[in-house]
Amino acid sequence: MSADTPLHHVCDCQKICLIGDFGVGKTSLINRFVDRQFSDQYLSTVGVKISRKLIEVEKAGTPTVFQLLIWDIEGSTKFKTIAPTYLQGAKGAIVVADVTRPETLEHLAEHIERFTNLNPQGVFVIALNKSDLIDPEQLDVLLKASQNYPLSVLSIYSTSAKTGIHVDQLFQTLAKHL
Amino acid sequence: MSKIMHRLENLTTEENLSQDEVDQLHQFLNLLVDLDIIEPEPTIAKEIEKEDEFPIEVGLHLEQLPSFSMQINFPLPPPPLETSIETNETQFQQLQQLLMGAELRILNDLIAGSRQQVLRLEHQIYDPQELSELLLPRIGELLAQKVAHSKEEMIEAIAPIIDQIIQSRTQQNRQSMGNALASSISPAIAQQVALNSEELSDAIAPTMGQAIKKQIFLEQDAMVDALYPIIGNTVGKYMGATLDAINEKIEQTLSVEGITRKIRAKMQGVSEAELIIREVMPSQVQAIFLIHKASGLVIAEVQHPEQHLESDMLAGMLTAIRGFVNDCISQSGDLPLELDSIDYGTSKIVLEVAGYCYLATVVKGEPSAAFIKMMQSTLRHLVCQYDPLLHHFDGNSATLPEDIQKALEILRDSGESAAEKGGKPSALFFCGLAIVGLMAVPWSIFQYLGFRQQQAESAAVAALYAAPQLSIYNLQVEAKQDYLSLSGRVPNGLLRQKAEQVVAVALPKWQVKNEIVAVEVPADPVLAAAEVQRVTRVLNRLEGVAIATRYHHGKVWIEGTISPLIEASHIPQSFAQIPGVLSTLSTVQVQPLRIEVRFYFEPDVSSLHPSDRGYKLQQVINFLNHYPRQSLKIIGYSNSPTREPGSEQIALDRAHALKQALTERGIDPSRLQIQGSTDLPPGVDSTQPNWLSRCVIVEPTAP
Repeated sequence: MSADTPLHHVCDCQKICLIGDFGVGKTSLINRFVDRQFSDQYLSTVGVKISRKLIEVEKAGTPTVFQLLIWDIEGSTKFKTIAPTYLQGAKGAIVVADVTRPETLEHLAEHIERFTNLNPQGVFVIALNKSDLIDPEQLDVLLKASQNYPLSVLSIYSTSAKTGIHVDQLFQTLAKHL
Repeated sequence: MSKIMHRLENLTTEENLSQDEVDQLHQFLNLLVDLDIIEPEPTIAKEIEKEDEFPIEVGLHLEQLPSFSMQINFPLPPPPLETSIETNETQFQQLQQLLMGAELRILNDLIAGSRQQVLRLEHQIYDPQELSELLLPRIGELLAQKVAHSKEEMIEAIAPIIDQIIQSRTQQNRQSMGNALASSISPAIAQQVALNSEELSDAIAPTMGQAIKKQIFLEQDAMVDALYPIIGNTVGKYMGATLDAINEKIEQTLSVEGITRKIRAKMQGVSEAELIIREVMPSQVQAIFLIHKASGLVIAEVQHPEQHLESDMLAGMLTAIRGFVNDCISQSGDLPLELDSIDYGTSKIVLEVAGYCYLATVVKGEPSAAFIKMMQSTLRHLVCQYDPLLHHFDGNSATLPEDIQKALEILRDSGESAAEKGGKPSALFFCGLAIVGLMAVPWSIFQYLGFRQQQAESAAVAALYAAPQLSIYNLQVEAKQDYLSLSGRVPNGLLRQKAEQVVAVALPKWQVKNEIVAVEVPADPVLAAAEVQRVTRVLNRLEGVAIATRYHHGKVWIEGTISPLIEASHIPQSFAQIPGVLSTLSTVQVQPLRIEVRFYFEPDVSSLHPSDRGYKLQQVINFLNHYPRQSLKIIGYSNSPTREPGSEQIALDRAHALKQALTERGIDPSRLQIQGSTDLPPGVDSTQPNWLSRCVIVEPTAP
């Protein structure tokens, strides 16, 4: 649940999703972004958790405030794919991978494809999360290696929900292009 | 030839041939000579010289003979002489013997051995015991090979009898068959369940009941334990629900609310249950959201100003739940299931889906059917009107026409008015109550006055009833506004006054208006008749009175007789005194007393017959004693047709005789009058015997 509660409905409102394998830190990223908090405790998200954040971005030179409805969708596994209706109607998605688990990086493309199938106009930002757990050199190697994504991927960030690094930029970048 | 012989001899010495072998060779050579195959030495030499003719090299490699070769020239053609055929045959045999003797023996031995072998094999094949022993070690392998080679054939071969095999084996040893199959039974059943559970159910179903019964019989506790969690809960749940229902019914049915609800249900044409729910939870629209179906973004919303809900979160989560229902729950059906409503606490979120959006209404309490219809029609209108806009909604509600918002507001207002409508009947009810109250005031005053009058009337009636003289009269008391009116009839003015007095004493605050009429009430004919009967009975008890009476319309008819001792006029007077008897009509006859005793006399005798002095006389005495005030007239008769003189005297004497007899017995003579008559006595005429007229009769007379 978000911290701020406006008294009336804000007109401009956008839905974004956080997708990725289970345990990559989607919920933690949202908690960091929305509530400015982090917890080491792992709680698996069941179904969907929706958060809301008022965000101010500069669009076409003018600062615009709009509301971001962030759908934290349960992590997918090879046994369980996420329900397509959760993704429908989202303008963009933050695709999250865990830098300490190479297979999660390999699955990034799959997540992007699934989302694109439902929302062809959707844009992405990739978050290589838990960047605080590996050496910066390794991180650079990983970042350089992950360049062959489709054009809809706006940017790739190495993030850490724990330290908060690049978390805001992640959301800002996505919000700017919605 | 000699050379050969010589060589043979050499051989014997050189090769150490046995004499026997040498003999054989000799025989052989002789044979060759006999057969003209070879010739004695000179010929042989000559023949040998003709080497180029038909040289035949015969090589014999006998083990016994290290190497033996010679050249034999067969003359061509050898002249076949018929005479020498037989000789030839024997010779041939000899040759054969010579050439192949040893081999033949070996061969013969071999053949004999082979025959034995064959015999043994035949024996082995045809003797089952032997055959089975023979095949036993290989049979498994053979079968395995056969199976590997052609499984189908094996199956075809065995299939027709496999059931019989199992059956037969089962008959032989059930236990072992059971053991053999035991381990495969469970997987077999599992497999069958997977393949065709219905068939298995059909097979097992008929015995299920029996099996359960048996198990209960065998191990009741185990069954109880097994079923308890289900049955306990089921029974508990069922009983709980039933009790609730009963409670509710008991509480509601006979109450005023219950009855008014019944009437309202009838009037509004809805079920009573719906009314109950509405009563328990009066519905109130808290919020209405129009939500984009795909993204879960709020297109438009109206909310209760005091209880603001987080529309975006709510819409998002609702959309997620809807999606979950569509995706994960309704996979098997042809159509995706729709989420109709979500209940929480006393509130409810009602969902109506159409096109690219859906309407979610948060209602506190139970929404009415009318409101849901309104929701549906609103959504239909919006979808028809603005479908493309709704479809491409991108989160900016400013781009949408205001009509959408207005439609939702109208819907909310309709919901509220519906809720108010629910309140209207109660307002109406209060109005009605007020009117009834206003009407009730005069009514209750009227009721009070009525009550007071009724009280006074009751008191007056009670007082009248308590007065003994008046209790039998039906007197009415009617309470007017300020006085009591008495009415009714009494037999006289005294009772009329008495009644007024009684009431005045009992209710001193009330004025009494006496309207009682004093009337001469005709006596009760029944009572009068009864009294007439009573008097009749009393009079009949008197001596000499035998009367009968008839009463009709106040008149008494008297019939009968009375003795002359009684004053005849007394009888009608007695009846005339009875109330209700207006007149009497008496036909009473006065009947004299009689003593039916006659004393008879002999002719011309005036003294009593002695026998008459007994019983007859006593009767007269008894009469006189019984009626002490009565006198007797004793009349003597002496009838004579001739009217003789003196007969009159005899008559008188006879009377005198009785008088005397009575006097003697103590009767006062003054009570006795005597009289003599010559007439016939009463009741006797002249035709009758004479003696009847010679008598004395007695007649009672008044003193």
